[in-house]
Amino acid sequence: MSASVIALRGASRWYGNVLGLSRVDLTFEPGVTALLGPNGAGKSTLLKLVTGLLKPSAGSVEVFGEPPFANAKIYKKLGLVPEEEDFRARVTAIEWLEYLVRLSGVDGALAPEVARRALDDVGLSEAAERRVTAFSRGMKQRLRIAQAVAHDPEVLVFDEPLTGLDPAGRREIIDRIRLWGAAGKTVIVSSHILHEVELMTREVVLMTAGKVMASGNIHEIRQLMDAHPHHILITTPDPRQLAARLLQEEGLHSISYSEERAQVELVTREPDHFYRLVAGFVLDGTTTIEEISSPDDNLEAVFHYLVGK
Amino acid sequence: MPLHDLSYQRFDGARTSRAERIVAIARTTITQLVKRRAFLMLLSICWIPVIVRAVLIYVSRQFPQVAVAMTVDAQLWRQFLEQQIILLPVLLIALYTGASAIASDFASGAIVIYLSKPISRLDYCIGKALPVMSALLVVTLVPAFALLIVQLSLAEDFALLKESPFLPVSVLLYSLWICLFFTIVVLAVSSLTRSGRVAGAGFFALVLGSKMVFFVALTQLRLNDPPAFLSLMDAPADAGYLFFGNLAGGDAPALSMASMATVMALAILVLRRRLTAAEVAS
Repeated sequence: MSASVIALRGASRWYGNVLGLSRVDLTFEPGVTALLGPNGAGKSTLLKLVTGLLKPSAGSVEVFGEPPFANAKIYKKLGLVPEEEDFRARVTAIEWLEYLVRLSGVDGALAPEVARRALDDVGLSEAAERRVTAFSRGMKQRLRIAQAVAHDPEVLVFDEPLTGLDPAGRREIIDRIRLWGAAGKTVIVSSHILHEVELMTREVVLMTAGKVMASGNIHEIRQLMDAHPHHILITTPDPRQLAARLLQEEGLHSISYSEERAQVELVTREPDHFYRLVAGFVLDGTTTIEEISSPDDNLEAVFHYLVGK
Repeated sequence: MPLHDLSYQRFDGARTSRAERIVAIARTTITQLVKRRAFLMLLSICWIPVIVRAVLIYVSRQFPQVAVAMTVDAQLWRQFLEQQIILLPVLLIALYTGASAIASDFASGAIVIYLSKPISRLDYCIGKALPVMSALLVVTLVPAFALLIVQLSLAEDFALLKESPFLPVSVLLYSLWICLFFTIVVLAVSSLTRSGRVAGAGFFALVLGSKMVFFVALTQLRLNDPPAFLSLMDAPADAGYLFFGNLAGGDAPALSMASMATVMALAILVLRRRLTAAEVAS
């Protein structure tokens, strides 16, 4: 039995002759993990394998040590927010949610209360008696989230959860996702909105062409990417003087400065060494530093370097 | 947008059984069906032959000279159920309740939500089949028993039941058999498409067209009319002779039963394949 909540071992999935996922070895632990990649990367296939909607063509997928495919016992512990579900039933939000809460295994007598609480969780309590067919895209998305979390599952899987939400709604759902992760749930979020993913988590799985390119902490992944030296941007009143001092150091790939912008930009494979060095300049009072940043030590850059898109 | 309580809320209530979850699917569908006027009207229309039969039974009891032309025996119930198939009520109800049952879940993406809940694919199918089956029983079993009650209440004795003690059982089993058959077939057709209309057209074409196809083919071969078991509409009617113990009366009732069983097995295979296929999740 695996110690991880979710474990994929050599998991592959073909759709006829088309390869959806290729020999993926991956584990997911409690907390929020983002699944990133361009269209066709295999994110949705991976989510469907984890949620038991698909069976792996080769390899294995285990959730709490059991294969999730057609496993009702595992489904009780899972909550899925699909990318799209066009509500067609002529029912109110509360009716629809009560129905799905019952399907999730919640006792009929408790279902109304559980459904109301879930609607309240996603900020839809005032629209509870409205027909879902009249909901806006953002409201439908909130309703999808409500049905996934209502029965209090241990694993939450979100496929593009921020689709259709307004900025305030996005912020609210991001906070929610972080909270669920912090509460010990295993949360997997598939998204392509990188800056919003960064607000949710630093743990990512980067995918392309059905394969996992990298997984782990964004900063640690970036550190491992030797092929792409780090850019460090320093704002200082005397960029020329600082550039001259840094030029003496080994491990520098290139350096440039701009008097106009009062900035020095250096490129290095040893960013930690230069951070320490610049900190030393500040401490000994020989240089004034206004700001220091690393524009490519973020998800956007990691994604761009690895996926090339 | 209001900020809500962000504390973590655990659900610690009771969990439902598998059967309750199946019933939840069926009940929701039935609730939606009975809210539709078109459905209620269709049901009413399907009861017209029942009323006609009831009036005939009444007339035959009141006017013995008419009774000569109309024999009230067990075969009357077989004929009635056969009529419900041939005169389309069964097909129309199956079409209305079943054609979009699975197709619309595919089209809307709701199937993904259903199958991510703690219900198996079999539970989902049973939940979808129950409303179709129930509606079909309302135009077969229920009116057949209603006619039986009419007959028994008008008759001064229980001669009919003495003569045919297994009549209620025959009515029950035959009704269940034909309803099960059409339910499984219509759900299988529904699972093959994302459009309820296409599924409806496909179901009708399959049931009505099967006879035509064989008829044309056999005519080309200069053979007689196609045997009943080759038609999805005639086979259920023909199987009735077996349930009502009149083996000599039908075309080939046993073959018709076997043919229906084969079609049902194929339909179950189709359902199984469709609900486990990649398309479910796409």
